[in-house]
Amino acid sequence: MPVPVITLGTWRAQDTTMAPVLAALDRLRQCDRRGAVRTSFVTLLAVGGEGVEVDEVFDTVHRLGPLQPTRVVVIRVLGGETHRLDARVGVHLQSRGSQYLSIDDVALEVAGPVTSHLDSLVEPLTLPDLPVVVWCRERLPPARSRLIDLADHLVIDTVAAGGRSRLPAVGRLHQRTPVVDFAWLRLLPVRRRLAARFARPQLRPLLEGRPRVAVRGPEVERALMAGWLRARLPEATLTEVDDLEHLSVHVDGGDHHIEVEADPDPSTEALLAEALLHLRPDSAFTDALEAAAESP
Amino acid sequence: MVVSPERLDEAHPLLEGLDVERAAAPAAIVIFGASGDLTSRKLMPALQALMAREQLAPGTSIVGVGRSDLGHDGFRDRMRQAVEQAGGGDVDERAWAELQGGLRYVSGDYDDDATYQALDEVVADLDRHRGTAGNRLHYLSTPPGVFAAVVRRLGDVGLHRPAPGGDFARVVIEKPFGRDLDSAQALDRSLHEVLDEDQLYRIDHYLGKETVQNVLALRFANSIFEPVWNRGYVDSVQITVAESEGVGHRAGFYEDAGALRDIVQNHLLQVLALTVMEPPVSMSPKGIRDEKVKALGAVDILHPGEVAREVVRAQYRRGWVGGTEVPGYHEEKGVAPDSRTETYLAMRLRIDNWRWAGVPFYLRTGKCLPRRVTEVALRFSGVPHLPFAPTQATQLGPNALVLRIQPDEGITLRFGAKIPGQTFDVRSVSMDFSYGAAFAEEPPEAYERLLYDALMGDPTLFIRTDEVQQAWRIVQPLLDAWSSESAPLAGYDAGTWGPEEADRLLEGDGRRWRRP
Repeated sequence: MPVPVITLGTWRAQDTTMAPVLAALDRLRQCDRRGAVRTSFVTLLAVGGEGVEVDEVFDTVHRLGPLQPTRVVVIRVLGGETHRLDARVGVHLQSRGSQYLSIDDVALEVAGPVTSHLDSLVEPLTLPDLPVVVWCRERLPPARSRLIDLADHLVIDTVAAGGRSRLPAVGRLHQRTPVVDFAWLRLLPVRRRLAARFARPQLRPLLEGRPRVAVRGPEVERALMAGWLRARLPEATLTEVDDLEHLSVHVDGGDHHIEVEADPDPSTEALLAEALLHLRPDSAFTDALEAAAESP
Repeated sequence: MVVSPERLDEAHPLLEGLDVERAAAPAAIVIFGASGDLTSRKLMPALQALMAREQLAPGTSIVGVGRSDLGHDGFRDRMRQAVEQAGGGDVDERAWAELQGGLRYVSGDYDDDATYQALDEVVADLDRHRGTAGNRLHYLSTPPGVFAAVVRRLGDVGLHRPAPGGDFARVVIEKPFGRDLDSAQALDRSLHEVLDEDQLYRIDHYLGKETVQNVLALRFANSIFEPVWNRGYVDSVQITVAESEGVGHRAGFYEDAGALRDIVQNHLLQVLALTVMEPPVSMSPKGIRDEKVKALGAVDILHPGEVAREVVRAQYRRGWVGGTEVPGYHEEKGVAPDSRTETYLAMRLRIDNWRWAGVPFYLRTGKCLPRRVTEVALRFSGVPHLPFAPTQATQLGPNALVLRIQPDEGITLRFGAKIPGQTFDVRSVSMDFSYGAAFAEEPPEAYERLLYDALMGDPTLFIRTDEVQQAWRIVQPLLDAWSSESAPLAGYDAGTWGPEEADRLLEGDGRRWRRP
């Protein structure tokens, strides 16, 4: 459900440059004193192709609650070789009780040579001294993209980006710029639940022995979950079973059988909120990626 | 900028209790270089705005002097266009009517006595018929090479003094004030042969910006910042003056100036002085300027042998800025193919005084950088002990206070905050304050402020001769070191934050440039 926002002002232009876009952002913010002070922790950039619904992205981000980034930039990359830069800017307030959260939305539609230099569009829009999170919604950014170097964190979804075969490429990206993968975040509840099951001291020997572990589920989530378990339980005998419907993990050893199932997939905004919440090195993901890339 | 106590004492009793600013006394404002770009883009719109706000007295007149043969009517038409363009088509007709009646133009060469005789007659006529009362403000919007000649000839015809009954005759000059320490001193000697120092108003338009002035307000009107504004708490300071544009049509000027003379010697060092100066006894012009001079005097002067280690200069190459491909410096029209003029400069300075000893100041400026921004960033030292697990503070950076001077004027404070949730993870957040959004009133343009102050006789925002010379003293070793063809000159892609050499300048200290 869309979150109501108070729009302080909007501006749009076709075939423009970045200078008027920046001027519009400043001008619109100055329309209302409620935008005078604000607190930010990140600049969020979403990049996608012609299929990206810009307003849908903004709506998703506006539903992030306390993790709402102050500035959201959406770049829609169009086909064609002729230069094009169309821009739309909105400055809004989101009411939170007696407080207001100030939000800048910037949408850029680009085509032509500039699509190879998106970093030059984004750089002037970044909030000073704060991390830049680049959300690649549909596919992995090309290895030559300078956005990868501009970003402090990349948010991707390996499922949407092509599936398990893309995991080695994700690993290479992750070595360059820390990656947060929605496919990995979807595993978070089931990983927590599985770990919690072994909180009972009676079950610890199961992990310290040579348990049999079966992971069922769709290919990407299954590969990451199996990779994580291989990295954490190197003595385990691990099998993967294809299941297009949902993910589950089964651990057997001695008299014990542990089984946990994944919840239904969380919403995109829940995943994005989780990604923005944990912008820190995740060694478990690194290990899972490496192990998944090594497994057949 | 600063309302001195004297000014309030001078106010007449009818002004008491009224929230109005005093109007400047009527004067003949003589603009040399009146057919130039600055007059149309900045000076005339500023005077029109001042008149619209009734900060200029009725009768105030403007005399343009230039080589172009415009005539009174031609000059009036051009100024009307300038006012219309500045207002986006909107013109305060009452203000314009007041100003246009006093617009005059004198055509002639700056080294021709006849020009000044004609000017003298025009100004005398204005005194008689417009009531300018013998007051003169000469604004030299000319190439700096003619400053001394113009002032000498003003002296020859007596226009360097107010006419009988008048209160003042002042001369405003625009930077650059010399090309090096010697030429700056020579220029001052020439000017002082005709004028007293208190008649000279040296403009650095940066000082007219509200947020430059706000550096003083922030520092000296608040008790919470000053106690930590020193080596005990500040780890390092970064001052950035970044321009996103290339040299454009200014190649002729820029080839001769470079980033050092164009930005560092004046804007950057002025901002540095305001940042590091001690609290003045009063906000009087003398109080503030004395402290600025002391601050610049405390800058550790580099030996020529240290320049290569402490300073990086570079030229931009072809690249992309704001989605537009831009040519490299050598491809710009008017730039010599073998030019070694720097378009970027980064340097490490130290301030040898009690407050700042040991704190590195990193200054940088450049053209074709990713965004236009001017800011002062104070990075604070870390806490003595961090009582969190290392994994809980991976997203925590040092505290920082950033004074944004342009374009989005304001203040940003970066501090650590707990991320909501069960765990005790902390991360850096930025709380930023926008002047523009907080105060509904549009601040005056820099030139409005400065012209008004010059007419009012408030020199606070103008640069005194000893400030100019202290600034040249700081940059002179760089000029000396770079006079050799073998002096290093790095390159950087347009649209990046500068060359790798500049990154290494900080990396050696365990620091890095912030993203402004």
